[in-house]
This record gives sequence, C-alpha cells and structure tokens, in this order.
Amino acid sequence: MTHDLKLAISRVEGVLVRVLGLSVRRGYDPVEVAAAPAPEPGVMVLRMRVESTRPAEALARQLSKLHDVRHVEVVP
Amino acid sequence: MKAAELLVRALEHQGVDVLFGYPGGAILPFYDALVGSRLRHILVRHEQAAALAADGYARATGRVGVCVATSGPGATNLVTGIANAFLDSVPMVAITGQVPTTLMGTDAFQEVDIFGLTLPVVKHSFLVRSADELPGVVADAFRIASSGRPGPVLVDLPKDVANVEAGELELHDRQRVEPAPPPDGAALERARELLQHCERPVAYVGGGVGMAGAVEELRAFVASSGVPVVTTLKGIGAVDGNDPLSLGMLGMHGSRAANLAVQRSDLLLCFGARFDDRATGRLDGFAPRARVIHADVDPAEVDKLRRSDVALVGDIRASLRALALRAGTDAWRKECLGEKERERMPARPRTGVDAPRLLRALSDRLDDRTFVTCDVGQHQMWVAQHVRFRRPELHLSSGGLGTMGYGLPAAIGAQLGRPDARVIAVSGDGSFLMNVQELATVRRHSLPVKILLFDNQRLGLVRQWQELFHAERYSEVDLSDNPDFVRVAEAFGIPAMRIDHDHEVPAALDRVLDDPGPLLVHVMLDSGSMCWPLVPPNKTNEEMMNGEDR
Ligand SMILES: Cc1ncc(C[n+]2csc(CCOP(=O)(O)OP(=O)(O)O)c2C)c(N)n1
Repeated sequence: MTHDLKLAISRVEGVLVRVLGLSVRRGYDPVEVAAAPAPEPGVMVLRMRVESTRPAEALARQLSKLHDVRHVEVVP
Repeated sequence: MKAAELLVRALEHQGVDVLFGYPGGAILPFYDALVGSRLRHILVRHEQAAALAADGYARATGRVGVCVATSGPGATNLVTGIANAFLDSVPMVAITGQVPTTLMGTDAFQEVDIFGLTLPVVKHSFLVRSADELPGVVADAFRIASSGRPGPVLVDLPKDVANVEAGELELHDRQRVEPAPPPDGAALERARELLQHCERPVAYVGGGVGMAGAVEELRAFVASSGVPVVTTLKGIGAVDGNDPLSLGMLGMHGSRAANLAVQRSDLLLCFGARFDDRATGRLDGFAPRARVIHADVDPAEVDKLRRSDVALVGDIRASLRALALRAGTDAWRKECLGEKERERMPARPRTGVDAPRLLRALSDRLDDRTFVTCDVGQHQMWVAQHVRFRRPELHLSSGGLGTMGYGLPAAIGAQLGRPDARVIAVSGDGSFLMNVQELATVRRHSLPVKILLFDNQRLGLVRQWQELFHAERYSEVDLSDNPDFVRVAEAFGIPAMRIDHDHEVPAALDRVLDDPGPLLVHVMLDSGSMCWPLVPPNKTNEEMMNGEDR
C-alpha cells in the first residue's frame, strides 16, 4: 500500500535523515520524496510517498514526535 | 569565557551535580573547564559505563543523567548506554567531543559521525556549530530529555567551537517541564462505561506509571476499583509488591497468576505499557477476549501493536483518577487471588545456593530505601519474580535493550545520586565481566555498593534456551573457567566473600545489609540452573512451562 504524507519541518542539522531514517526503520519505504523551502523562514515542506503494509497514521504519530517536525498530515 | 566553560556553567545552571565521563582529545576543552567547577565528575573506566551510570542515576533520582565522552571511540562506546536509555525512556543528556568543524567529513583522526550513528536511539540530538547556540541547546536538551516520554539527547560539540571565545553569553534558565495534558473527556467517559460493564478487568501496568509520577494515583485506583494488577518488568513496584491485588509480572517469565488473569480478562486497562513482545507472548493470542483501554503519554504507542477500544492519550494520573470506580465481580477477584495462592516456589536446585530463595530472604529484609540493580539473564528474572519492590524506582533493570553489563554501572549511578540509600547490584557471572572494570570506580569513591554475584559457570539464560529449544546442543555458554571472583574483587580493593550452600545465606545477607562499605558476595549456583516459569517463543502466555513437566 502507498501512503502520502506532507510535513512541515524545521530546517536544521540532519532533519531529512532523521525523518527518512525513522520512516524506514518503522517499516515505511519512501518511494518519492520532495523537499522545498516553505514561505516561513527556517521551515521546509516535505512531501513523501511511502510503501508499507502498516497504516499511515502510525507513521504520522511517530513523525510528529520528532522535535524538528512541526506538522504532519496524511494526504488522502 | 570559552564556549567549553560556558557549557560547564550551563550544566551547573541546569542543576547538574554529578556527571559520568572519560576524557580524550576532542573533549579536552570541556575537561579543562571542569577544573574548579561545582560539577562532580566521576571518571568511569569505560564510556559504556558512563552512559549506564547516568541511566542509573536518572532512574534512582528522577533527574536527568549526564555522561560525557570524547569523539570517535569514546562516543561509540557510549552508544549502548544511550540505546539502553532510549528503549527504557530514561532522561539523559550525552555530551560528546567532536573533531573541529574544519575537519568534519574528512575522516579525521577519531572522527565518527556520532550524530548520525545515534539517530535511531535518541529522542533528539544537537550538533553545536557555533558558541552562541550553546545556552539554548543545553536548556532544550534538558527539557526534551525529561518532558513527555523521557529519553536520551545527544549534544555533539566540535573542538573548535568549544575553544571559541564566547564572551558572557546569557544562560537559559531551566525550563519548566510542562505536565502532559489530560486525556480527551469523551474518551474518559467511554472508558468509564467499559469499566462499569466489565466482569473480569485487569490493570496492566508499565514503566510509564512511575515516570508520570502516578504511583499514588495507581494505588488509589486499585484500592477503590478492586481491579487486580499485573506489571511489566518496568512496572514492578508501581503497585506495592505486597498488595494482595498485585498478581506479579506478566510475560515470558511472568507469574502464572498474572498471565492467566490477563488471558482470561474481558477488559485490559493498560497504563503506561507498550505491549512489548516479552510481555505479550504471541501477540494474536494475547488477552484474546479483552477489550483494551490504553492510557499513555505517547500517542505513538496507541494502536502500535494492539488496537485499543479506548485511547487515553495524555497524563496517566488524570486517567487513573477518572477510572477509580468499583469494577469487576467478586468471583473474578477470588479467581485471581486463588491462582496467586496456588503459586509455588520453583524446585530447589541440585547443588549450590538456591538463588530464588536467597532473593526471597533478602526481600523480606529490605526497606523502601534499598535500590536493587540487575544485569541480564536468569538472575534478572529471579529478581523480578522474587523481590517485592515497594516503589518502581527501587528496581533498576535493563528492560528494553536487555544490556548485560548494566548492573554495576547502574548501581554506581544510583549510589551517587542517592548517597544515603542502600544499593545492591545483582549480577551473573557472564554479565559481571562486561563492566567489571567499574570496580575501580566503586573503590575510588568508596561507594558502599553491594554486589551479589550469582555464578552458575554458564551464560545461564542462553544455556536454558539451548537446553529447551535447541535439543541440548550447547554452544558457547560454558564459563566454567571463570576467574576467582573473590580475588578479582580483592585486587580492586573491594572486600569479598564466597558462599556455596544455603546455610551460609543468612550470614552473607547480614553483611550485605549491614557492612558500611562495598562488598562482593560470590554466590555459587548449580550449573544447570533454570528460570521458571517460561513461556516458549511463539506461544501464548497461558502456555507456560514450569519445569515440573520435564
Ligand atoms: C550485551 C549483551 N550480549 C548478549 C546478550 C544475550 N544474553 C542474554 S542473557 C545472557 C546470559 C547471561 O549470563 P549471566 O550474566 O551469567 O546470567 P545468568 O543468565 O546465568 O543468570 C546472554 C548472553 C545480552 N543480553 N546482552
């Protein structure tokens, strides 16, 4: 199954590795990833499509615990 | 003032009194700044012990444990201890020196990307690239480590940044750790409803209760609801081990009464536990007829392994208060207590000291100011099964990671955090040699730590599995050429004695309880010792082996 997520993340040391690493570790394989600066300074928008047998919400909950993740939404 | 000195000041400002570490090239500026500081630095003899001692300090005091190491091998040696704190949700700040920023990324001498290496096992991490970030980073590190579900935070400090002239940057005050918000009111209402309509409720209590400061609320809940309680390894002590409604630990080496209660229940109230595989056994057969109320501060734990009927995310204390209603039938209580009464001590071993009975005897003589740490193996499970703890923080055990070598450093950390308390480390002959060098730390600081070393001349728990599940094909579990542990201790300047028989136990316990200084008691066990009960892998928790059917 594929899931689409959209995140607002702080642009800080290692944030992309942190987000992608957590996703892979928790059993979600990123198949499409795009990051771009958000209008707000110091923030990036990260869109990713992941493949997993696990539900998207479980990943969203794990990601939202990361200190540098400001917002996560599962895109329907 | 150099940035390194600013870091020392910032730690003092956070209220740090003790930290555990080991110096080296990249962290030299910090060690220079330590001279004359109020901080008490404990020089361990291996960085792994620094992290594990910081973990023990944190568990025993409820404060953030701090450890320090240099770059490269110093930092990698910390990793096991950081992972240990991560899996057991222990608040910790780990500070590592790093090669200068100009050399980072060039495979410089003792360069290791410790930030990257620890990403999977930290709650958060910082790489400090400029001195003016430091005050904010330190304050954030302590707040993140101790808020919500606690965990370790890494602060990696390159040497050139540490040496920068930072002037008089203002330190950030200790940030208040906000209490978790109360759970959703509608969810609480649904939970109350389930509770009122159940017949066979069981409370399944994990380490989250102690960490949330919810012990009193849990006890009030148990007293007014009359709901029987089982705990995980880390939940031990949250309910008084002597409480009649306490059925003991559940899971792989859990009590029969605890496992059967959960398997027969129609409502499982999970407070601060996470359905870990050692607790649940085969997950799809765990509490098969129960609805689940899951109260946890961490939203990601809800529905992770077992779907809950009601999720109470937030402050566990609020959930416990809201659920303190009489629940379940008297027949159910009687059934649970009946199973508890039917519990038997395991059969006596053929030779040597009977470790479970020794621990019972010790337990009978313990007060509520005695900390017991353990290593990993059969002895760890015996402690969990046979010592009755009155508070969760008195039992220091490596639950999530199962780190052999935890016991002695954790005891050192606990003793330094709680100088007036009694601290006993229960170890196995395998585990003990993983951090035996810390006897030097015990000696240097004259810590009155007592060590009960259970010696079965084997990697006991692994041997047991090979006997039971690998057709007695013993592979690399023989330790019969162990050193003479009494002489090892004495070489470090630590008094030691050896016991071979049960009749020597009372006198040995007298010394464990009364000797003013450190002591190692080398306890000889049968080399075929077994830990019962045991739920075999991939079995459900009612399929316990108890050794009698063999
Ligand atoms: C660092 C580490 N390595 C390996 C293991 C796997 N392991 C679990 S228990 C055990 C045996 C422990 O032996 P001992 O400390 O003598 O305790 P006993 O089981 O005999 O009481 C081993 C090797 C582990 N938990 N931790």
